[in-house]
Amino acid sequence: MKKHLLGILLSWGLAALALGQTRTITGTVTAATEKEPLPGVNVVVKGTASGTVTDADGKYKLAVPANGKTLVFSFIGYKTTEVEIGGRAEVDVALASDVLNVDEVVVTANAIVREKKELGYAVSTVGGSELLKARDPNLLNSMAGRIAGVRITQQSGTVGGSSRVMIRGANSISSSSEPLFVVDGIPISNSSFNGSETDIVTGGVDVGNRASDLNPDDIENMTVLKGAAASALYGSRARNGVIVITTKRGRAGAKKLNITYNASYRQDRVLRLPDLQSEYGPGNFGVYNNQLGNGWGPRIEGQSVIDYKGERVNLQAYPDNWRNFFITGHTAINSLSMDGATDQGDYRVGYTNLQQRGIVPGSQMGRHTFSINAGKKITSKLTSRVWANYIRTTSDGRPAQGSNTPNVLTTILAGVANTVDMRELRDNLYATPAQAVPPGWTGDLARAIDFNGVQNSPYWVTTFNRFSNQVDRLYGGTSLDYNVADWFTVTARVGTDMFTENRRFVTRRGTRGRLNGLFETNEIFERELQTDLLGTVTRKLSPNWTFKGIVGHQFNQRTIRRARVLSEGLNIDQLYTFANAQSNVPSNFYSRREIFGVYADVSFDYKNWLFLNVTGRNDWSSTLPVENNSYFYPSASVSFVLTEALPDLGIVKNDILSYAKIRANYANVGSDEDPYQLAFTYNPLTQASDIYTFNILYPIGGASAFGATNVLPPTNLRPQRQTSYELGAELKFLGGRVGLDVTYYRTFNYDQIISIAIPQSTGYSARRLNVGEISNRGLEAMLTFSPFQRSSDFKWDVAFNFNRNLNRVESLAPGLQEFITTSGDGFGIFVVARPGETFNIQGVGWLRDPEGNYVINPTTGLRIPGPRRLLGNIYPDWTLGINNSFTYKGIDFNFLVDVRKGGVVNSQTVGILRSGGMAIETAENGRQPFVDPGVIRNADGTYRPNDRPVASVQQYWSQQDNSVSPETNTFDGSFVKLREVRVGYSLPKNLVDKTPFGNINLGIEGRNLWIIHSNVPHVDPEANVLGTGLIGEGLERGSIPSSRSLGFNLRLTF
Amino acid sequence: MKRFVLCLLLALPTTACFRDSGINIDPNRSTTVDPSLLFAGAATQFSLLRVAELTWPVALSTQMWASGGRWGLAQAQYDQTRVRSAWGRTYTDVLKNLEVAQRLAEEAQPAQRNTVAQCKILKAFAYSQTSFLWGDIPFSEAATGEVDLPRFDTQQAVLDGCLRLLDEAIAAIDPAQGGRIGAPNDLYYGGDMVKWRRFANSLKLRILFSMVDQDQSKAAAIGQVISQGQMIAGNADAMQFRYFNQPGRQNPRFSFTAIFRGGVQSDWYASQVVFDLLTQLNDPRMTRFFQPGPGATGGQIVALRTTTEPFSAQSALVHMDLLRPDLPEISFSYSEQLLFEAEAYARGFAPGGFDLANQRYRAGVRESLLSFGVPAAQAETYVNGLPALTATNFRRELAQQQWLDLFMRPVEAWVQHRRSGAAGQEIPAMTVPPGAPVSGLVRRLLYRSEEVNSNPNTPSGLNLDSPMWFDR
Repeated sequence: MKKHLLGILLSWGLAALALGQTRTITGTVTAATEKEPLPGVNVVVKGTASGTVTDADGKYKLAVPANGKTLVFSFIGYKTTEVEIGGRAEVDVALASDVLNVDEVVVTANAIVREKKELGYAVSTVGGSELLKARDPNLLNSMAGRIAGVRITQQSGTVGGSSRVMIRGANSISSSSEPLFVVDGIPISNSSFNGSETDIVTGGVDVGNRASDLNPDDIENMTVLKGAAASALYGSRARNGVIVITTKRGRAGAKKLNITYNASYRQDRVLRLPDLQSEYGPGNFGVYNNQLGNGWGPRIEGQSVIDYKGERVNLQAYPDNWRNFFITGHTAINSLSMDGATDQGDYRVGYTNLQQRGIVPGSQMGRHTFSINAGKKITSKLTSRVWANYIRTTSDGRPAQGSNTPNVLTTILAGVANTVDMRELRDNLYATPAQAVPPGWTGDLARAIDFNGVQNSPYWVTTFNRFSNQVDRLYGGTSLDYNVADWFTVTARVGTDMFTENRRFVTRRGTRGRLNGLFETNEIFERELQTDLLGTVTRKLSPNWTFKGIVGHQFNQRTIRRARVLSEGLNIDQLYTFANAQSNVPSNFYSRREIFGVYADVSFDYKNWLFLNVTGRNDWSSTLPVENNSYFYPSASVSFVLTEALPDLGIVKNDILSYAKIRANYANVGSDEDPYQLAFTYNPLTQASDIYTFNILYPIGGASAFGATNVLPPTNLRPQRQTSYELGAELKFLGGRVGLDVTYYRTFNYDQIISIAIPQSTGYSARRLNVGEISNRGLEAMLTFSPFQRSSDFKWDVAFNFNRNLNRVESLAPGLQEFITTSGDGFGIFVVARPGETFNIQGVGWLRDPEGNYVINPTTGLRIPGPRRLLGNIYPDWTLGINNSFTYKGIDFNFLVDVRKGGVVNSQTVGILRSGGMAIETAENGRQPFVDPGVIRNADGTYRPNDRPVASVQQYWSQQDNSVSPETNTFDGSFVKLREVRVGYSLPKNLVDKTPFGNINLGIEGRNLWIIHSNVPHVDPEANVLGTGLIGEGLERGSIPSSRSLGFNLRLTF
Repeated sequence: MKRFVLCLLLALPTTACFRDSGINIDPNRSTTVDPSLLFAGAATQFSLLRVAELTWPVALSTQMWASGGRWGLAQAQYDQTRVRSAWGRTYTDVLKNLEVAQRLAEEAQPAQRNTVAQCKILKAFAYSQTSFLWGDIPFSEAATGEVDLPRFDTQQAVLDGCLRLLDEAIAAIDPAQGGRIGAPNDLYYGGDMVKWRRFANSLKLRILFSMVDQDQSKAAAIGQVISQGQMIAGNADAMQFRYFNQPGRQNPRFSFTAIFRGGVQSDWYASQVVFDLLTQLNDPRMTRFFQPGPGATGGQIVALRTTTEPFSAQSALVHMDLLRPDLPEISFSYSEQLLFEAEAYARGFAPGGFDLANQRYRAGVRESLLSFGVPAAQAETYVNGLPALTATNFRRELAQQQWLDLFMRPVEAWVQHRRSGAAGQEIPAMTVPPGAPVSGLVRRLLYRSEEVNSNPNTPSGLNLDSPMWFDR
């Protein structure tokens, strides 16, 4: 099917190229100031879609229909200029530079291109060249800290790991608030399906998110639509914002063929390792025990002991165990593209290869990306375009995170005593039954590192218990534009995104905790299909008024098919076939949903300084009850360019305020819900379970089983709604040397469709209904300034990107005190929504007196677990990105500092390291018992200061585990990070001219270089085990440490 | 042209409102089901909870087994977090599905009366067990989905309600008729309604005995059940859920050791109380309950001497024979039945006096020994050596035997121990483990936070050692 579709798309593309067409205009475009030719300038016949781009010498050649009278020349950084053709065959133009950049065009909803100044809402655009500098395997990471209102968080250091995107705060208390990704007008999947919540928190793998398949080399630009008014035309799915991506097309150049080669190589090292003590060995209360993977034994003084292998040794610490375990990762990205254009058409083909080795031994990822994009004028009125991307991603050896399964790597590492030499474990892995067991080792010892056989060797897990996957993905589409008249264009577009993913996670026989071995096989297929038909009318109503109207129809269908087989009990070691398993439990899932939408977009332009835009869309969703499945949503926005209006109105222009625009908008959008939520259903059961995971599989004794749903289905379900307001201003001072773009917004999400927990004694765990309101209000500000004059050789640009979002749960169901959005019950913590609060981490807190002091147990000197309470807001109070860019001649130097203030992080890894006596702080003061500051409750209910030292330091720290109270392991999540540093150098033209190359750019790039400040000990404050699919952040458990990377980049054009 | 396009745009959606579409019909789940499929799931889940989540924490905190600190679950902790899903799953996966199955059977044409009876009997079992663990629980308004905040009924009302359910079931049973859940989905009796009736009567006996110290009227009710007969009358009648020696179908007590410990039992140790009682009785079950520790000299059974003593290589362990993969989960045994009958005669609830009481007592103990694998001759010798029950000794002698009989059934054993005497007078005597969070023995589980947080009717202010109604 995939090959078939690719074939069709390719043949359409070739057909589009083969056809031909009319009067030809040629010319040269130069820069007015420097008098140099300008390559890459857009040349369009006004009122049509006919256009081309200038070549390296600034020359262009364009077929103009008989009725074409005016050419429009546009280029970023220059004023858009319109020129009457008249009777000329050659039209040369000198473009004036536009330091204010007010004529910038952006791609908005449904691939509609608009001028930025007419937009009544905030948009952020990132140019493709920005993404090429310091390329990251996950495109989203390159955007972190750069875009106002957008927060991007890398979830783990796993190769191909996921990144979470949140635009203007959380909009739902029941589903994650990930934005919609749209490439060339067609939505694509950013799925990160990773099983159930339980699967994820109990030993899941960070499977990544599918938006990471996007290849930065193929991207022309990226626009982020943040508010509902901007994204209303996308319909239901745009509630969380939209990331609109336009891919590269062929450009006309000096040669018929432009070739670009771009190579990056990076090395990745662990950014942050825990600070561990190496003073005390394993044991209990100072008594050595070679069975324990902790640090509560005696002081390490070279004394003679029996080690974990049963050999007599002098006790010695190996402080570099973690450092020795993680290896240096490598990433190599090579990309090659060819493109070209004539006035008849354009094409671009690209190939990118990515090879990555992770910091965890044996983890790796590879990706091939093929892309093609071709456009062709079929007749003077008819233009066609076709584009397709094929991506194959394979990965192997992604480590497990979370808790419970025996494969969780960080937990294993935290249980390797500091007297065990990690290198010895590495070099003595008992790999195959045929391989000789190292002298003095038993086979079991090589697998597990204690005699009780509970703890697996980390190398056992990384070598044999591997997660691997392959993704084959194809997305693309084709479009036809028909110029019915110079004022009326019809566009038809159809596109798809489909992928299959095969996953296998094996656990070898002999693994501690899963002695008989098991493997899980997942096959995932997702497909999205979208068709669009829209008509655009542009009319000048009077000399002052211009009207633009768009009506459109859209159909969207999404299909998901998944099959999973859990195979347990392997007869033959390392043979992962279903037939070799003593038990196979298959399960499958299918879902399909459809939306029909019709929309209209009407805009008026008064004298090019007042713009009014009104949109309306109606959707029919297949997932809502038939009687309530139609919903309409309107938006209105206004843009007022003060600096153009005032002179126009006779008010004098000043020199200080060069540009000022005020924008305001309102929108109300609706959305549907997941399919199949309306009926009372009976589920076929695969297993009965309890908390000990010794599940009983069906059929048992020949009996199969069903269970009635645990979620009471809704009655009279309505669409969910979101209302938003936004007010913003775009100001430029001193000829553009200082710029401020500021936006204030409010969103209210109401009638949310939520499964509200009801008492389990009802027989059901939840009831589905429209309930709850959640709001966001916030401020985005982007301040830019250039302290030096632009004309000088030296340029310094600073950009401050400030975001503050206040998220608040306004109401829940009547009588409902709190709503658990994500349960990490195994962690002893929950992410909860409570009216009047934002999302918080909740868990057992320490008992406190009315003044807030810890209440201490007078016998043990230890704190006392108290009731559950909120331990802190999971979202930051504000974030700030500071980007500095220096340019001198061909050299540019750039660094990005990322600041987060507020929000909390709970780290179970910290808890494990502390309760195990491994963390450095557990070795302070020679482990002398100390008095924990607090109070003791007197018999009469009053309190006195605590004077009772802790019974032992071991008991004190053992109590700091999440299972007793997560409070101590919950930290302020504020941080300052040096996110990116890069130095780029473009070789001077006179040097390049002696080579066969057009341009040579060299770069040195570093990402994630330095945690300048953090309040979380031992781990990266950004780690989150929940990934992108679940609500909530700030829960770290067994996360793979993130990496710091340093590398170089070479970019050549021919 | 423009008009044409507009018409097209408007026409498309009006034909596509999914009005007669099947697109939102769930292909993964069904809207109809046979009650027998729900019943099989409810039974399997119920048994799994009994044999796993409700075994380890309960057996440890009630001193039936000991952990020696091995499992992070000291006796003294009365660790509630280890009983995390039993409350919810009993209601949502067991009782709710039985409720739905019962409704479907009632609505069937013709009504499936035997199926209804099977559902009601298992419901009575599950409700009574839940009440024995938590005390007052939702019963009259529970598991139907019709009441959002179910009332907590008193334990007395719950247990009386269970007796009523059992009476209704017994009245509905007609072994001559069909309309039943048969093999394989009736994993207990394969659809044998005679056995279901026997279990129903025996279960009534268990519930009545738990109530009789608080509600004297139950004495007559016990007499009535005994005189009516139709109770479990042999090992073939025992209510049990079978496990199989196949992956995923093994008794989880085996899986725990097999999966975590490579088949080497190193978690569950001999508790002082059981060891002392067996020693005192010179009971041959000693070597059936326990195996010597790997480092014990001469195969000696060494118990942990205190509730907080850590295990060592000498410490005796719960015998692997009792953790076999295919060992069934016992819900009601013949020995339990016989000992209840002995108690009924001894306490004069049924006519027959100590003659019959002693007959049942010896038979019950003999069955118990045999069930743990004591050879018949050895069992006979032991039984013959037991002192005869008299008005002065029967409480102690009987209660000791009843408690030991329930060695692998911590839920029932806990009920037995709590009803064996007033607080502090229980048989056998136990002391509060040092470091326990309350000053008394554990007497109840605490309500789960999921219920507390969502149901304002949840009783508050109860401690682990607050006695329930039946235990006062």
